Amino acid sequence: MKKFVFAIFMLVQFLLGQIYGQKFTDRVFNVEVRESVSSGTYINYSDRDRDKYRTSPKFTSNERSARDNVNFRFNSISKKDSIERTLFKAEELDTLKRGIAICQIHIPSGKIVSVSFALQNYVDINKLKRFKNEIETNLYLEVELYGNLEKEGYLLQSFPIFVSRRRK
Amino acid sequence: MTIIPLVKYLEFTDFKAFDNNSYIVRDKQFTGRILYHNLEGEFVNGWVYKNGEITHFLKRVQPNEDPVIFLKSSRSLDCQKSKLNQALSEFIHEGCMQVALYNHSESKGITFANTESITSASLKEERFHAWQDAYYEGGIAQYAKVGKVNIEFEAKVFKDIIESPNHSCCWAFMEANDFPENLSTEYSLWIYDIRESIITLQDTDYQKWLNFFNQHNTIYYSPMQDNLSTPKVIKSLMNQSDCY
Repeated sequence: MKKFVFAIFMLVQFLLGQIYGQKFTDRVFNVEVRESVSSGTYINYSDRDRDKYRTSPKFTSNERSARDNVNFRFNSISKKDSIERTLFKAEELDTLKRGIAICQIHIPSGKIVSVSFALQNYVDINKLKRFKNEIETNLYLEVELYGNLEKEGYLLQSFPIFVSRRRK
Repeated sequence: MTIIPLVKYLEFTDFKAFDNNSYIVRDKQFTGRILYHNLEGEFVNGWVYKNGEITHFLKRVQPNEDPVIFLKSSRSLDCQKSKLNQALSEFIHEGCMQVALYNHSESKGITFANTESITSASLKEERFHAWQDAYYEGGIAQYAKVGKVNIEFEAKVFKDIIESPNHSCCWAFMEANDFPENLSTEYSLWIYDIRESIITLQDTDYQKWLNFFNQHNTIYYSPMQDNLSTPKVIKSLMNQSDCY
């Protein structure tokens, strides 16, 4: 009996170990389960190309940061919802909690060049790859510039995903 | 709030001018004035509209002060007024907390570095600084060295949380030096949870992010001020609004 209890204990420890801190690398994403500083656990699907787009844009007015020279408008919400509904079944969307897509935005064009995800549920990784591809191809952020751009670059913006069913 | 439509707008709406105008919503054709009063019935501030666009801002003034134009510049230009009106219009139509901030009667004046910086985005932050200036006893100028980071971080968090849950995020750590990717993601998750009222703004969480902000935002680095370690002004605005 003791051996059986010990075996169950070891199995539980093994399974927990599989969940927390689990890490694996895919062709497109680095996947990792992380413990958040402020709230619970989340699964991070980090775009492996993300580091290519780290350079911030530069403006001629040096005293002001890029943040003070740029404003974003995300006007593609209905398009994003439509992509979600195409890729994921209604039943899936009902069970998925709100996640975020973390995007590197090209300044000045507003083109989304890299997409990572932070999610509260595991999601079929192939569907996420298609989702990333659709976001990069079909969505963009409107960029307003308030200063003279000296050198193009990239800034980070996130937007919520898996909320389309809640809005209906 | 008092809605005073012009006769031509009354006629245009077939005398149903009040059907399409409320505390937050304005008809795209609204022409007239919107006035706000405090609970004692005293005038606080107001707006003049023409075809849905704000043309003038009204405020309570001292004798001999111009009641409409409030741009104080060595050369107050028409283009500045036009940019300000556009920024104000965009700002107050963005959302609930923006309206709450703007209707706050105790806020002091705001300053823009130049014409280009008169935008709805900068208005948000500068208006918040003006409200901090009025809220904190002795104003915020005393925190130019010690406490600068507290004042700036509270404004950045405010700017991030007042957006709608569908709006993109975030500004506070956008240009932070060597800010770890996981923390950037977690800050966004924290902000979205507050935007959606899943969690409330907790002092302990706020203090964690304030420490990271001071470590990684070199342009705002300063020694911290202990009595500014909680977001008092944000909470005060939240409590006084019906937005959360």
